[in-house]
Formats: sequence, C-alpha cells, structure tokens
Amino acid sequence: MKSPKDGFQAEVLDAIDIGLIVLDEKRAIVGWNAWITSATRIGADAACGHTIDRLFPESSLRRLAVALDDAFEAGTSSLLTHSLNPYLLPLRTRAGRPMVHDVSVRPLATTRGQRCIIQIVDVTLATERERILRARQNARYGAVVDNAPDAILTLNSLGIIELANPAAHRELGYAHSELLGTPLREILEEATIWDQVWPSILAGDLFHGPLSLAALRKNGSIAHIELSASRWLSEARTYVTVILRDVSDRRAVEAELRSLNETLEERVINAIAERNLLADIVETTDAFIQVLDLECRVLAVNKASSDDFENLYGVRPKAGDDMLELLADHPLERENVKGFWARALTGETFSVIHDFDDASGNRRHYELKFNSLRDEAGQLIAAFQFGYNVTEKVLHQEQLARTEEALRQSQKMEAIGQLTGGIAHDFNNLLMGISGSIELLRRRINTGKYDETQRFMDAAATSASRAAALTHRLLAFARRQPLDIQSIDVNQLISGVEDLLRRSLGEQIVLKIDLRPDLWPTLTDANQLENALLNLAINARDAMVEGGVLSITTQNEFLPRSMKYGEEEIEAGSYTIIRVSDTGTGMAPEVAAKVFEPFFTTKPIGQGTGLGLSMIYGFAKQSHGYVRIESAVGEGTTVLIYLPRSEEVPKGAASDADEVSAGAGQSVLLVEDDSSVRLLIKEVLNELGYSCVEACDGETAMAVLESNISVDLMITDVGLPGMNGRRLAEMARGCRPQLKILFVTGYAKEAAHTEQFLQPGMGLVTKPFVLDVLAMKIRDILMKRHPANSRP
Amino acid sequence: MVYKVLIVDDSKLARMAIAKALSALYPDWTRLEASDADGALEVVKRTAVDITLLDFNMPHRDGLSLVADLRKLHPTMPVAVISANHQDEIVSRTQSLGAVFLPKPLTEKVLAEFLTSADRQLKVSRS
Amino acid sequence: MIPPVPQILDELELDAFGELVNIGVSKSAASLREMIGEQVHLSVPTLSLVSRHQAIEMLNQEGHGNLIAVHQVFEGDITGRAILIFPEAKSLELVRAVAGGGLSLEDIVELEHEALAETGNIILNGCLSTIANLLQRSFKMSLPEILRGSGSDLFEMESSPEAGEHVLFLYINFAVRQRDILGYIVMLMDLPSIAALKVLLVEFIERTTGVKAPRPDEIP
Repeated sequence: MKSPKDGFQAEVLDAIDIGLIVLDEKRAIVGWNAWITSATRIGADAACGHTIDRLFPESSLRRLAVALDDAFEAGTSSLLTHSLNPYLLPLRTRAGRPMVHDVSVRPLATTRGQRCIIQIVDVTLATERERILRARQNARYGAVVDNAPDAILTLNSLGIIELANPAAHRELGYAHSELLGTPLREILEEATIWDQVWPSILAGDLFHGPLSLAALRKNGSIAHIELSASRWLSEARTYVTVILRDVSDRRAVEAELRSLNETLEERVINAIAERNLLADIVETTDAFIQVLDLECRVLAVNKASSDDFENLYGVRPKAGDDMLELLADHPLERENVKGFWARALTGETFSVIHDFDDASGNRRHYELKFNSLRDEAGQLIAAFQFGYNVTEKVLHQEQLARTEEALRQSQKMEAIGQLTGGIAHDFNNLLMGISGSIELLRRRINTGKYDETQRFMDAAATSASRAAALTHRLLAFARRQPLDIQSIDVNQLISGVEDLLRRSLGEQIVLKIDLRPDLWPTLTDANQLENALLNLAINARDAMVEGGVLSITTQNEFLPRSMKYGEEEIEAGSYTIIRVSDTGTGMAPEVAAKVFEPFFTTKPIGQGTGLGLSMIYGFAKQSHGYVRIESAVGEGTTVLIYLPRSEEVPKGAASDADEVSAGAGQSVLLVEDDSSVRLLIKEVLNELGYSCVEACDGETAMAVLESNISVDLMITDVGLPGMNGRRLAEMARGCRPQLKILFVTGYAKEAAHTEQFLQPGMGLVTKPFVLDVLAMKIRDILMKRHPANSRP
Repeated sequence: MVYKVLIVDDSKLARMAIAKALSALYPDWTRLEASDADGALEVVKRTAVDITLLDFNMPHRDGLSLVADLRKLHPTMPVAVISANHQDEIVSRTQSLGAVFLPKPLTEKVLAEFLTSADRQLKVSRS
Repeated sequence: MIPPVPQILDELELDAFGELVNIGVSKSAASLREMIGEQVHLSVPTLSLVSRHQAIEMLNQEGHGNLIAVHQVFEGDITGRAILIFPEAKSLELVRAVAGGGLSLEDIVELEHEALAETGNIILNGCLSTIANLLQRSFKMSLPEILRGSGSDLFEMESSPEAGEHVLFLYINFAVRQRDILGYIVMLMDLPSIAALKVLLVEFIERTTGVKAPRPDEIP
C-alpha cells in the first residue's frame, strides 16, 4: 500500500482481499493497495497523484463522481453494486476474467485533511454460484410442473398469480400473460370460501383436504375444481402453490340431486311455518305474558313471565294454577295483583305502572297492560296481561340528572386543564429552543469547534427571555404581579409594536394606525399595554377570517362627570383612550356581556384559552383605568381602553440593551439569602462598576448599616428569613434616613404590600428580571430620577 | 418599468424565499402568490400578470401542465419553471413550451439573469 | 389511547423541512435517471411529525403486508436513522423498473437485494446530503442495510425505548416507466436531535426568507 504508514499496517492493507483506494479532496489518489494493483494491473507508483478518471479514461464514472462529491461535501456513504453498475471499473481476476465487483465510497476525516475511501469487493464467484444453483433448481422444477395434467399456479403473498403451467391454459382457456398478475380470486366464480381460507393457507396451517370451488373458464363456462394449496418460503418471501383438479362431471350430478331434495323440504316447511311463527313469538318475547280465566286461574303463561315470577316469588306458575294461591306468602303483592286482575276481568283495557320491592329489597318498576279475551259469541272468557320491566329506564333517568351535574363540573376542570396545557405547550417550545441550542453547543465544544457558538447562545437566551415574558404574563393574570406603572408615551409604544402587530396579523389584514399628535402622557405599565394590544390584534385577526381592516387610534378625553356604560361606571377625569377596531364578525350582546370573564371564549377547543380579554380587563383596572367594548353582529368589534393621564413627563422609549452606563464606584449593600441569586447580582454590580457588600439576612445587614461603612444603595430581597425586607427597610431608614433602597421580589402578597408603602428613594424590581433592567433601575435610583411609587 | 410577478409553489417557505430574492432585486415590483395550478390560473384571469415563476413539483397538476395553460392565455408571457429536478426530459419539455428552467435552490444571480431577459422580452413584445 | 406527540416543529418549519426533502429527492431522481436512462419522477407529497406508535399505525393501516426497507444511520449535530420503506410486493416492481425490463423473474429476485440497497442508498443520500448542505452541517452516514418485516418490526430495533421517539413521516411517490410506486421515508430522531433540528430550521428559514426568527408569540 503506497502511503506513508508504519510497516505493519501497510503489510496488512496489502494482504487483505478487498481493494482500497484513498483519494484526497482534489480527487487525487493517495492510497492504493496491492489487491487493486493486481486487479487493475496498475502499480501504486503509477497510480498515486492521478485521478481515477485519468487512469481509466474509457470508463463511465459519473455515478462514482457524484458519490465522491456527496461524500466530501455532505459526509454521505454510497454503495455502487454490480447489478446496477456492471463493470464500473475495468478489473480482472487472477485468472484474467472480467471481475464482477461491488464498490463502496466512504468519507474519512484524517489529521491530514478530508479523504475518501473507495472499497472494492470481488463478487464474481458468489454471483456465478447462485446463478448455477438457480438454473439447476429451475430445471428440475420445470420438468415436473410443465408436464402435469392439472393446472398448477404459484401465487405471491397477496394472492396474485406469478407462475402458471401449460395445463392452466389448457384447462381454463386463459393465455399465460392473462393469468400472470391476476389475483386467483378473480378467476373463481364465487370467491368467498377462498377469501376465508386464504389467511390460514398463508400462515402455513395444515390444509384439510381439497376445497371444492367453481372456477370461471375464459369462455364463461364453469369448471368445478378441487383445489389443494401449500405454502412455501423463499428468502423470507412467501409463495403459495395451488393445484386445480377438474372434477366438473362428478359435481354436476351431485348438484342436481341436492337441488331436488331441497325443494321438497321447502314445501313442507312453509305449511307449518305460519302456525309456529306466532307461537314462537309469544314464547320467546321478553314481555311477560299471562292469561287468566274468570276465576284467576292460569290459562297460559310464557317463559319470560314464568322465569320472572319464579325469580320474585320462588314458585313457577303453570297452566291450571290459581294465581292468588301462588301469591299466598306475599300478601301485599297478592292484594295488588288481585286488584289489577279484578279490573281486567270486568273487561277493562288499561295500563298501569306498578312499583314494588323484590325479595332483596330492590325497587322494581313494571309497566303492565291489561286486555280482555272474548269468545266467538262476544262473551268475556279471560283477560291477559303484557308486562314490561322498566326498572332500568327509570333508574337511567335518575342517573342522567346526576351525570349532567358532574359534566358541568368537569367542563370547568377541563378549561383549567386546557389552560395549563396551553401554557405547558408554550413552555415546552421555549425549552426546546433552549435545550436544542445547548445540545448544539455541547456537540460543537466536544469536537473542539468553537466557531459559531455565539449564535446558539443567542438562540438560547432569546428563548429564555421569552419564557420569562410568559411567566410575567401568567403572574399578571393571577393578579399577583404588581404593575410597573410609569408615565409613558402611548404613541411611541404603539409605533414600537407596530411591526410586531403587522406580522401577527399577516397579509390579509390591513393595519391602520391613527395617532393623535398631542396625546397626553399616560400612567400605566408599558409591558402590559403592549401585551394587551397584541392580544386584541390576534383576536381581531381570528374574527376576520376573510381579511379586513384593523384600526388603532389614540385620543385624549376629559370626562367632566362620571359616565355609565352598562354595568361599568368610569370616574370623571382625564384619560388617554386607545381604540382598537376590527371589521370582523362582531358579537351579539349576550356574548359581549361575558367577554371579560376568565375562561370565556368563543374559539374552538385548542385555540385560545379565553384569558386574553380578562387579563386586559385586569390590567386596565389595576392601572386605574377601564375597558369597554362596542360590538354588533356583522359590524365588527371595537375595544376601548381608558388609561389615566399622567402629570409627569414620560420616560424615553424602551431602552436598548446596550445602554447601561457604568457606576462611579458607588457601594451597594446586597441582602439576599439565596446564594446563587446573590452571586449573580453581585457579578452584575461589579461589572457595572459598583462595589458590593454582601449580607445573607436582615441582622447582618443591620450590622453593616449601623457601622460607618459607606453604603449608597441597599438592594434587598423582600422575602428574607427572620427579619423580612420591609422591616429591614424600616429599620435601615431609622439609622440612615436618606438611604436608597431597591426591593427585589417574585412573590404575590409581598409585592402588593410592598408596593403600597414605597416612599421616595425606594424602588421595586420583580423576578424574573432581565439584568439590564436591573442595571437601569439601580442607575435611576441612584440618580434620584423617577421615584417609582404609584398613585394611591 | 414596474411589473407584476406571480409566484406559484405549494410550499409556503419556497414562496417566501423567492419573494425575498425578488424584493432584493426589484423592491417596487408587485408580487402575487398562489399555492397550486388552479389558484394560479384564478389569479392570472383576474389580474394582468406580467411574469410567472412556478415550481415543477406540485400536487394535482405538475408545473408543466400549468405552463401549457398559461401559454393558451398569454402566449408571450415570460415564464420560469424552478425545480431541483433537472432531468433532461423535464428541461427539454420546459424549453419546448417556451419557458425557462431555473434550478432550485434559487440564487439571486440566476433570478436576476432571468428577470433581465424577461424585461427585455416584455419591452419588445409591447413596443 | 396513544398520547399525541407535542408539535415541536410548527407549520412553517415542517414546510421548510418538506422543501428540503423535495429538493433532495429531486436530486436523487436526477441521479437515478442517469443510471436508468429514462425519466424518473420522485416526489414527496406529504410530511408529518408523529410518535413511533403513530408511525407504526400509519404503516399498518395501508394493509401492505410485509415491508422491505433500506436503513441508514446519520450522526452529527443531528443524530438519527433514515429508512426508505416499500411494501414487499412492490419491491420487485421497483427493481424491475430500475434494472431494466428485459430480465426474468429469477434474475430480478436475485438482484433484488442489492439493487434495492443501492437504489435506496441513492434516494436517502440525495435527501440527507441536501439537508446537510442547506442546513450547513455535515453528517457521518452509514452504508445501506436491508431489513424486512412488519411496521412494528422495523421500528422496534432500538435498544432503548427512549432513543428515537420522534418520527418525521413522509410519503414518497416513485414513478418510472409508466409504473407508480408509493413508499415511505421515515426519519427517526431522539428529543435532543429534533430540538437541534428545530434550531437549524429556524436559522434556515431566516436565511432564505429574511423573516427574523423570533416570530410574535401567540398569546394564550
């Protein structure tokens, strides 16, 4: 093998019975073993450095070239077999005959760069041997089958004829080509029996005697045949060989005899049939039938009634018994029965529902119909009763009522389930994004490739922040998330989200935005307002299936007196109104009235959980604003959000992540009991240029504050063990009245309480938070801008 | 000259990709889309389409039968069949119908060449 | 009740993957055409992402009886198995179409194993190499292996049940010499791989359509 390897390996490669050619990226030969030398009569020295095309200019090597391209570019492995690529290369065996060979192409990454290995295997012997074997087998088989007098057909596993002998043509009249490819059942007159038996034949079950069938000859005549079948396997392929023996003559005689017998029987049967029929009905029906004479003696009783009676009372009535005697041990029932029959035996026709308890104490409900029987002269001679046990039906109705109640309960649970399902689904997707990116990162790092890792980290970070946003929304819905109320410019916010809205709406919906130029600053939570707008846009989109127009307008409104809209009363004051209108299907008044209820939705199952509008309602109320709806069926829907005017100048637009100014070395006291959170915040503080003193609880923090260590800002978790954050703040302000304090919380009740008593110089940041947001808050507090307290 | 271009492909992604390439080259041209042969014919009957780009491999009817129908309505419209299936028979059938064959994935360069020649062709046939 | 597989790939991502496979099989069709000498038409009409159980059901539903399959493994940023599946009864037809009409039944049967392996190898490689190229990745792939059995047999070959629960299930239509042969391509992947595939598809969509990847959230 011509390649710089250590001697032992080269010896082995030259000794094996497989051809090895190694190519580099330029398709030049860099490896060529002894086997291939012998097969091509070209030595390694002559071969190396050239391409295969160059060595074999007469060969058609297109397939090989494509396989090499794929291997180098995409890492594929290819197989070129002798059947489809006969004599790909001009190779010869030791004996000088053309070599039948298989080729495989495999990529190989080596320390010297990308390579391709071509392996060649000689299959001349194997293919020849198989060919001979098959020929021999065929010869023997052919001799027997071709000369047989009976039709012999070989079927595949779908019952289709693949081989037919000459007798098949003689006996049935079809040409050979007509039989091949035809399912056997199509040449049978009636395929039912064959279809039934086929599965067991295919399974190889013992075949019990020949099947008598009728086959259709080509000329339309019927051939009565006896069919024997046997299944055999060849290389995991299933075949069934059937032999069809023509027994037409014998069968014809048998058939005639049988038909004669049948007609005789038939005539006799018809005569008796009718008489028996009615008797049968009475005897076999489920209804309880009893006939009593004028003395209450049993004239007739059917099986159902006897069985039931025996079941209830332990004694079986038969003709001749005195009914009232039979019930001697059951006085209550006896009285009832006596009463019914008394009526019936006066000739009355009536129905009654009779409730009673059986022996086990179960309640039964019977429906009884009574009728009278008269003789030819019209004289009343007996009465009969049809009885039906309707206990089931009665119980059923009771159960139905219970079920309905349970259903209502479960529907409510289902809605909650859908909600969590929907959210879990969203989370799942986001987690996919994160885990997928991490997986890619891991693989890259494992193979030592560090390029492009930034991309995957960004992807993971994006998904993480979206997950955080989702949590925010959830908490807001549960009304645990305190709003971050700021003075904002609504027009700017809408412009900022316009792009997102357009993409949510798609191409079929036109978005018209009409912003009043001198809009007042508004006091609200920017994030929640953005969410509300997106939510409304999506609802509108769903209502406008055929496309339409969504308009968003802003305006100022001063209400001198409070106004009533339906149930809502909007207090007097100055408001910024954001109006979102669509040209969709609109809503009827009953629907519009319930639209803010949580879980109320008109969307089909799986699409939306009906939380959006109730969240908007909640957010508006918390902002000390209002939401109302104007809608009519066929006329679209308008949602109006009223938010209070702010007296302060609005903040600038949502900050870019990069705009975080460094601190000037101020010192921050960090109070947090969770060590990993503490570490994280500390890192951020350090990165931003602040120096940090850590405390893990209130006590330690107080110790620091009571000393003369300089502290410009205290960041504290609200939920600390022992002395909580609020208390700590009180005490801290006790010894350092001007101390700036920033609370951190992720928790419901804490937040609400905390929010209420924020004073100047205090701020609140909620978990999960984006680190840049934290940085900005710190900067803001330290610079004494926008003390983040809400209006009472 | 501002033209109306119809993009026909059953894959939404493929339509978006072609739309991107087209708007990079000629942002002010109008783009119309259809997802199968019948849809495309609807659009062509309703609007005056100048140029059509279509996928060969579509459900119900393949791209070449659509080209044949288009030719009946607009014998001189520049039409390109885009496909990764560059077998001789398909390429030659495309060309015999007077359409151009462009390989998939479509590059801006190849699309630009086609559009330039389409522009020339339209100017000539309308002068 | 078989629990549904969460839709990890959304509609656009499945569309994108379908496009990749379509381009891939077109490439295979061109290769096969050169080999056979007559026009070959390969198309992938539908694609869905299902669980292993569902895939077995879908295969059983068509009532083909036994199946024959060409199996290859691919490894890299995404790891999994690609399997081309035909009903056993149709496989001989496929071989006849590919190897030429003048052969006897015996010859066809003899050739069947290899011709199928190579044809399957060409088709699967066409798909996998296109996926690799357009997603800008490279894979290590195995040589083809022939398997026979029912749907359950083909899918139960994993050693651990967790490996490869996600199946991209595609119908493939193979038309040549006036014959229409319907088969399936399935790609079996485990959860980390399908998650990685999602990330790559998102990037691919961004590259080719200019639509920035984080699309607006659907607010529940």
